[in-house]
Formats: sequence, structure tokens, C-alpha cells
Amino acid sequence: MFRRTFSRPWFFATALFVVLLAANLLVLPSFVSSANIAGTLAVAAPLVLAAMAATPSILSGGGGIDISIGPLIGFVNVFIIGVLVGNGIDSPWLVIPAALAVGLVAGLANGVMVAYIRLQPIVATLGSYLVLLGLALVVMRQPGGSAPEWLLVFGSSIGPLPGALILVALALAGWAVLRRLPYYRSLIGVGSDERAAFTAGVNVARVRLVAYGIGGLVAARRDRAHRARALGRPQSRGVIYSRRHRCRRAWWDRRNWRSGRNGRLDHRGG
Amino acid sequence: MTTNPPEESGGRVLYALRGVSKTYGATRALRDCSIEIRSHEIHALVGENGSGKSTLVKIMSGIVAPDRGVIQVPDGTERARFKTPSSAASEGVFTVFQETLVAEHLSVSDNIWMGHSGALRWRLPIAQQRERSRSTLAELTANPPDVDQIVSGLPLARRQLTVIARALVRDPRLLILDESTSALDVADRERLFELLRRRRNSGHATLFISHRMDELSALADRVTVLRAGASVATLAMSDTSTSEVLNLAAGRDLAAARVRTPETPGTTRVRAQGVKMTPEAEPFDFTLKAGELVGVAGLEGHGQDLFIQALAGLFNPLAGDVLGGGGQPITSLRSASRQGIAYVPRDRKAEGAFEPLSILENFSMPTRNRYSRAGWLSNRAQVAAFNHYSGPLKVKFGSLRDPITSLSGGNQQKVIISRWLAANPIVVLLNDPTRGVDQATKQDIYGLIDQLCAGGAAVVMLATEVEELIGLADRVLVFHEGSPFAELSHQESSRSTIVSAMFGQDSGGQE
Repeated sequence: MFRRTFSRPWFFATALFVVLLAANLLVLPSFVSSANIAGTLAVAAPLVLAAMAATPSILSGGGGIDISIGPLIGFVNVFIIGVLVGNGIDSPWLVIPAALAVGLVAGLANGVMVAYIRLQPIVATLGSYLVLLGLALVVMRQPGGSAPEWLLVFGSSIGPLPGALILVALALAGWAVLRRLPYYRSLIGVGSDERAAFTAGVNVARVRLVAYGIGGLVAARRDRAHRARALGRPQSRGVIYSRRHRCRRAWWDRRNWRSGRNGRLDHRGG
Repeated sequence: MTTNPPEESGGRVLYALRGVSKTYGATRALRDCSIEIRSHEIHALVGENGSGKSTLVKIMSGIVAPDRGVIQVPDGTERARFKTPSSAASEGVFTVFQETLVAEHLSVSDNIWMGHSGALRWRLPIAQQRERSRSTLAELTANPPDVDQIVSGLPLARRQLTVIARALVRDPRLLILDESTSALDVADRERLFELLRRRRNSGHATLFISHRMDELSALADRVTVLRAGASVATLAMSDTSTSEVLNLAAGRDLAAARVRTPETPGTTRVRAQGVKMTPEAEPFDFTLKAGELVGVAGLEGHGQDLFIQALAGLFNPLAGDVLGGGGQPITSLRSASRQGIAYVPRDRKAEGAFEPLSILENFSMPTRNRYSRAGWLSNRAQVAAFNHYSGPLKVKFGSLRDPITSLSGGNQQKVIISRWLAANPIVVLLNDPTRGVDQATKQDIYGLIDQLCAGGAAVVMLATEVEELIGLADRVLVFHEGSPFAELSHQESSRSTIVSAMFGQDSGGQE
């Protein structure tokens, strides 16, 4: 019985979540208090969605991974602030589809390189990583700009609900829909055994292409969570989880503090 | 044995390959090859490993494109190629390949219906898919797997049934079975054959590839023989004999089925005391002596597979002990290996071959420490060892640096057997070593087993092909419901005694 439970795919993730949550509560008992929950979720939501964005490419097998998710989020961020809002386009009916389209195109570009040109996923998405990093700098060399009011609620609360929770819930709902589609079975089939899927009649290349496209879409959605936290900071174009990055980020925050630019989001949100 | 009703065989031509050639680099896999497959027909394809059978099947399945030649489809038009397996399926062709190609993380039913629907809409509702999966598997086996079970937990035979069911639910006009019965036990194989006969009677065609001549003579209406990439003859099975077909395939007279002269048993190499393979099974003892060749047989799932794995240290019996010649317990593959026991697994793809690695790397994997000096791996020493140990098996290869997947199934098996011979074992455990290999390769493997026993090694060989055990084994342990139902001496072994024991019946007499 226990052995069967241990071997379930969800067991490790759930156990890790419970252990880390317990550790957090031990160190900081107010971690999930009603006053903190919105902020906690706002911090967690971008990471949750980034993980979800990376998942389809991993599930598609063949060493699939999309390391350009971070820079893509940053690029969508500066695209909205620098290009759309900067030119007076701030309606959610335009901004959201445009952001999703940018994410989708970037994801599909990765998919084409992996599935059709047959580049190694890590090489292809490293190339995209560098391109998106560069494009973000071209679009916006300096941090700045302003975000529409409707976007900032994702960093705080909508009624009693934390805004970030809504974003995560939307992503989970999307995932639940995906799981019910024949495509999902093909995705798992391709990830399990590419040859089995191919000989069974699955279009392996198309499945992989779509997987990267979905990753791009989720990354674009994740940008809203991220942007609600950090407005138009070029170094947020790509969450590089390295010491070097954290040092640079700390430097940037200090500089902004001195120049009085830090906390802009709080002012606008308030 | 069912005879082939003449009025039902040989309808109109459904599919044909005409003048097909295919070259891989310097290797000419097919040369101006032609074959016609008719409705109401089970058409056998026979040839040695490397004769072009797999390439022909891949062309018919839409996996590779021919360099020259055409494919004729049922409406009489010709295609230069089928672009993908999906387009072959839409032309009515579906293939079950030699390898059990399953998606391990999907359920049995999802594996069966994989590739059937588009991306967004189910062509058949999920409930109906499960129901069809269940009924198709029930036709194939008396003990079908749960359709919701994840495939990774299934043994090889169940996986094989799953991929066969995948083909059957599509109801293709031409079903290609490429060595896909090799993992099935006798009962399931018979059920499949009955199903193929019913398909034939309803006008469908089957292209059947097997190295088991008894299967071909029981099932096929016509046979096409391939040799060195060319189709050398198409014959009605009723007008030919097994030996004629084999001689055509080999291009020479093959020796009659090998019969081994038993060695005089020497000292004890392995002992099993009071071992139980399954909770309900009776405990039993077993002793293996030097120079002995013990055959192991049984219907799938009756404990014979667990028994040979227990001897290899891969399965710990529910009760009792397995001991090496020195009295040391065998509880893991490592402990077995330390006592000179080598195990050649059954599922070449999953347990035997390291697919991304070269032929040489595959060979030297467990013994590579021997070929290194101060941390440097000597290529020369590896090549010398490969030549020494694979010599008797006559492996056909281009370069030792080619991936092992570039070899035919039989040659891959030879490399894997050579790998374990290089460890100089005193006990060799062979789990269905001739599965999916041609007659000539089988003869090579039989010859090697002879040499091993003559050299003092003890061999335990599990075989699904009963005839192998009759000719080779000094004694045969036939498993039924988890323990040996009968232990037959060399003289007592016959097809009827072994098959009867598999079904838990005392034999009524010898064949």
C-alpha cells in the first residue's frame, strides 16, 4: 500500500511541498496569515507559472527543456510597457492577446527549432534566451514606464481573493482542459516513447511544436503575475537563478532606492 | 494445425511493392524487391537477419521511403511512398513491430488508441475506447490486463498484447506482424492465430513475419522469401516444405535441427532450496551442475521467468534460498555476478542494449575495467576482446563504432551474449536468447551453448520455442502455476510432453 503510494508520480511533489511549507511556517509563523497571503502568493505565482510554462516541453521528451522561459517573460514585460503602453495601448482586450501572441510566437519558434530543425532543445532555447535578452534591451534600455491599473490588481487582491491566486487558478484550469484533450495523451505518448508514438500514428513533430507553443503562452500569462510585482525592470526580463544575477539585482534595487524609483508599483497599486 | 482453405486464399491483389530498392549509406538493404499481398490471405515473409525484411516492413509502414519502386494500394493506384505511419494507416496498413513499442506512462487503453484521434476531438469517446480495448484484449488472451493499468508495470507479454490490440482496433486491410508473436505464450499465440484466420476469412490480409517455421506452416497461405535484399521466390505454402523455404532463405542447405550430446554433469554450480516464486506456488528445490544445460518452459506468467531471474539475483523468491556453487547466497545481480553467473535478459531493448552507445561500448560495458590502464580505456584491448568472444557468433557489422541499433535484431543479440561471455562465467542464464532471430543465428547460438557446456559452464535456458528445448536441453523444467510441474529428461522431452505439462496435464504419450 505505502509502496504503491510512494511510487505515484504526484507523491514526491506533494511531499516536498508539505515539507517546505512546514519549514516556512516554522521559521515564519505568519507566512500564510490573512494579511500575508496575497503577498506570499504574488511572490509565488510567477514561479508557479514559470514552472508550468516549462512543463510541456519537458513532457514532450527527447531531452525537451525551454530555458528561454525567463527571458521570454521579461521580453513580454518590456513589450507591454515599452511598446504597447508606451504608445497608449493599455486596454486589456488588446494587451492580453498581444502578450499571449508574443509568448506563442516565441514558443513556436523554439518548437520549430527543436521539432523540425532538430536542434538539441537546450541549444535551441539557449539561443532564444540570448535573442530575447537582447531584444528586451533594444525595446527598453532603462527601467521605467507605467502599468495599467487593471494589471496591478494581480499583485494585490480582487475582493477577498489574492490576484495571483486567480492567475494560478486560470493556469490550472487551462491545464485541466488540456488534460482532457487527445493532444495531452499524444504529448505523454511522445514523451514516454517517441518511436511508439510515431509508429502509432502520432505526428511527433507537431506535438512537440505545440508543447513549446503552450509553454510560450503560459510564460506570457506568467508575465502578468511577474509584472504585477516588478514594473518594467529590464533585469526582470529573465529570472536567472544565479548568484551573479541576484547580486546584480540587489545592486539595481539599491540604485533605484537612491534614485527614488523603487516602490513605484506600491504607489500605483495604492 | 489448421489447413488453409484454398477457396479463401488468394483473392485480388490488395497491396504490392514493385521494384523497390533502398540503400543506407554503403548498405543495400533492398534490391529490386517485389511482393504482392492479396485479400483473403496470410502472407509470410521469410529471410535471414539482414535480408531486408525490416526495411520492407518499414517501407510498407511509412517509416522509410524507398529509393526506387512503387507501392500499389487497393484501388489499383500507385504511391511512391507512404509519408508517415499515419498515412499508411489511412491507406489501410498498420504494423506491429518486433520491438514492443509502448508509451510506458500511458494506460493500456490509451496505448491502444494512441494516435487514433486528432489533437482536439476524440474520434471515439473514451468510454467506448476502454470498452473496445477490453473486448479486443479479451479476444487475444484469457487473462487480459486491466485497461486502466499504466503500461510500465506490465510484463513483456502483456505489452506485446497491447501493441497487437492497437493494430486490431484499427481493423486494417493489411495487418503486418513483424516478429510480434515472439513474447506470447503458446495459448495466446493460438488465440491470435485464430483471430488472424477470421480476418482472412473476412477478406483482410496479413503479412506475417516469424522465424518460427511451425507458425508459418500452420498459418500462412503463401510465403515470399527474401535473401540479401532481393525477393527470391513466392510460393504457396501447400506446395512447399519448411526445409525448402529455409534453404531458399539461406541460399544453402542448413543443417538439420541441432541435437546436443549431453555432457556428464560435474560439480554443483547453483542450488535453490525450498524456493517459492508466487504466494500460491509449491516450494521446490533445484540443482544445476557444471556442463549441464537445463531448459525452462511454461506459459507466460507461470513462474519460469521469475525462476531464471531468481537464479540471476534479480528476483528474491518469496521463500527459500538460492545459493551459488560455493554456498554463498544469491540475492542481487551483483552477488550473482561475483559468483560467476551471467544473465542474458529477454527484453533486448529495455534490459539488454544501451541504444545510444556503439557496438563496442555495448560489448565492453560490464567488463571495461579489464581494458583500462591507469584510468585510460584501451580501444585495442576492447577490440581484441570483442573479436575473441564474438568470433564464434559471427556478428555482422560495419564498424564497431556504429550504434548498436544499426545492427539487425539477431546481431544485437549476439553482441549482448558476447558481452556476458567476456566475463568468463561459470553459469550462463539465457532468457529466451533466440527470440526474434533467424535460423542461421539460432544455429550460431546453439553452437555457442554447446561450446559453453563442453567447456564446463552450466547453462539455464528459458525458451518460448519448445522445439529448441527438445533438441538442446539435458532436462526440461516445465513450470505451471509458479512451480515446476514436470522435470523431463532429454529422452522424455517432446512437444506433446512439454506442452501438456505447461497446461498442468500429464502427457498421454510422446509425439
